[in-house]
Amino acid sequence: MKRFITKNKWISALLALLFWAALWQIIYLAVDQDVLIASPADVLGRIGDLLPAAEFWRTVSLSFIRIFGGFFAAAAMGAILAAGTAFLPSLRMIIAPALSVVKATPVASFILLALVWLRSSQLSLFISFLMVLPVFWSNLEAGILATDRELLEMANVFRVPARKRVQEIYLPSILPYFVTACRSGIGMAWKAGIAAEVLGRPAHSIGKEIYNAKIYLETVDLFAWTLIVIILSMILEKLFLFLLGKIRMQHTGK
Amino acid sequence: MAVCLDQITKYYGDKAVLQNFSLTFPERGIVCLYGASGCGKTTLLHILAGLDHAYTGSISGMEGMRCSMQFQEDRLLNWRNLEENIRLVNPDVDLDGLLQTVELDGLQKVMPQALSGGMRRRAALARALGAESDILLLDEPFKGLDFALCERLYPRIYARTEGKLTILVTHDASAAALLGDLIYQLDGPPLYVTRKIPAPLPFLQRLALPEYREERRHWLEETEA
Repeated sequence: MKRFITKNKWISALLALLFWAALWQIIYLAVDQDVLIASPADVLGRIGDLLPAAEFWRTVSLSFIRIFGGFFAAAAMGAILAAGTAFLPSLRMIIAPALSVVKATPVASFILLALVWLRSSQLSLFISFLMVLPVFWSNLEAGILATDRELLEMANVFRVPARKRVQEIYLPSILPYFVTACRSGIGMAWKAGIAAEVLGRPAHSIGKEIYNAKIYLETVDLFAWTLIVIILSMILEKLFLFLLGKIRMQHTGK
Repeated sequence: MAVCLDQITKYYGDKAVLQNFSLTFPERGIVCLYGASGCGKTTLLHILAGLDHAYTGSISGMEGMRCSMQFQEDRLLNWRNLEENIRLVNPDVDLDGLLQTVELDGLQKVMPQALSGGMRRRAALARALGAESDILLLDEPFKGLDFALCERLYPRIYARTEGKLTILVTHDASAAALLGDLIYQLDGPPLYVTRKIPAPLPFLQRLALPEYREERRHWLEETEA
């Protein structure tokens, strides 16, 4: 039964993909201007050309390292801030408005500002950090505050050491909130990071490739790189959630 | 040093649960706080456990004492098995012996969700008995357990608590009649002592004399306010 459902799922995904590819092809034929819309065949062909090149992998991995460096730094910093604000109301009064401002500020404003302060190679790291930080902070803080008070009282009475309290009571209740933060943060970091690269154009970056494609009216390249960004984002998200699922199994048994 | 409560007052909103309540506990033995539910016994236990500080009055004799407690709720970690739940409060506990005491032997690796209500209750009791403590606080430990099982548990619990002060909150007259070296019959709220009943016989004699227990149980139940 499960096998049947799995098979069905793949077939529906494939059908959906074919539908959108067909629609793309129809629009391409209707518009009939290669500068405005590239054909699916050309784009796939270009991706096929890019994949075997060492330079392609270098570009992708450097973009990945910068953007996910920012993502993981935001996770760490978000956790520290969440722990601080959950227990210290006075710290919360200072931190919460600042992060709300960050959340509400358009990403482009930050990118342009940061361009003045930072080197272009640091830009995407900083921007993905900044975009994802409020997400981690607010989710993790909610997780800490939602920790079962009765279990904490129990730990109090039995004088359970702080390290064990964190490991056995706080972490299992925060983990679902952490997964939620990762789920919404990962796409956000990736998109904001690429946008920062487009504006900052550091050497060996996906954003620079997209920018060059636009400047030289290489629509096929523009489509190909955009498609690559989308596919990478999907793969990363699936991979990350799979790993988180494993950790969750280990910590909470469900 | 005996534990003394002096003029404890505790409000929930504008309702007094404890009002100038004073009580003295002996240094060791099982003290039963016997009375109907809702009279304020659990509140008193929480104050003794140091979980509730929003009261006036003073408590002496608790300084440096380690408490262990079975709560009214089971308060087990659902993501940890029975062994991990118990070792959380005492890593060096003799687990096999402890689980035999509450008749959960062989269930070390079982998760709490897989246990019945009565089993979870006994798991929480085992955790309280297994922790290193000077004062043991038990809040309705026999709730939901059948009579025959309770009868087997009583002597084992008494043996495990010997030498320390155990405060047992219950509205089960037969548990109070057998286990209580001293029974405080309570009513409220606000909580007050209706009677102080010291046991005239030591535990083993109480255990050996079913007529005594029966008589006491009837007496407690009939005189319940």
